[in-house]
Amino acid sequence: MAATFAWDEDTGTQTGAPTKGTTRTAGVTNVNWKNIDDSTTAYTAAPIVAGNNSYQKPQFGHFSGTFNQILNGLFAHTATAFGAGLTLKGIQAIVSDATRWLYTTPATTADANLTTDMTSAIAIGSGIAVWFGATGPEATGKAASMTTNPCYTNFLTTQLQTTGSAAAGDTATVTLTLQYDEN
Amino acid sequence: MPEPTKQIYCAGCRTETAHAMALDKNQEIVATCGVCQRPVKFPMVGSPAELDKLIAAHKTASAGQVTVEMAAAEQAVHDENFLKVLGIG
Repeated sequence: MAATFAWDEDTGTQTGAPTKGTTRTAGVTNVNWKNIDDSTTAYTAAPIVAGNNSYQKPQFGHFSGTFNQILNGLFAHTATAFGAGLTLKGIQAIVSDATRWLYTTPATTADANLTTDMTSAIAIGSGIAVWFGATGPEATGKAASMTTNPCYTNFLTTQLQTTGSAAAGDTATVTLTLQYDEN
Repeated sequence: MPEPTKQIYCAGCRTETAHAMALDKNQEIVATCGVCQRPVKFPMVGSPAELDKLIAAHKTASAGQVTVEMAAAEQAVHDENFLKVLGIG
């Protein structure tokens, strides 16, 4: 038997303490950066005007099923280059609860707490550290390895920031990877 | 007036380079690498010290990445050495 993995996403006004999104959507299958804060609208219906930024995408990993331990999490943009005028920003590596990204109501202003430049595709081995914990991505008590079932990664939030030189139309389809070990 | 510049870590060039600094239509700070033209944005802040703090955080988070091209080149060296050890090639 093995763990069951899914990408989930929070959207909407921040709520609770620690903060999380008003809406939590399970089983998202893409991270389409767009000019609306939801998990449902097609990006073609909410395109980002060149020079503006997308709303943040606060996605996270959700582990359930059967496992003893989840550990050694890494997150990175691992394939395909972006075009000119596009910058993908992501969370910093987590080294403590204090360094996890805290959910705020998504907006299109450049998120100062997304400090990693993820624009270039890199080897997953040099991806940022991801931790795991119970309850949800927003909760404290995250650690590099976790035995609690279900468990969640910290928020793996990204934002696509653009300048006026960004070309019209779709960006290239890129791959973001979450790698983990399972015992 | 010459365009202002600041030394900022470029994740494309993988080193600090002179970045042209400009204010965009959303009043955000856009820094463009003078070597590879990659942009990086910072929200408007209230003081030079705050901007320097954002720039430092950007460098801390982004430095040291191994691109897929670099990883492939490293693997090619390992593969060649492996073949040599086996007396092949």
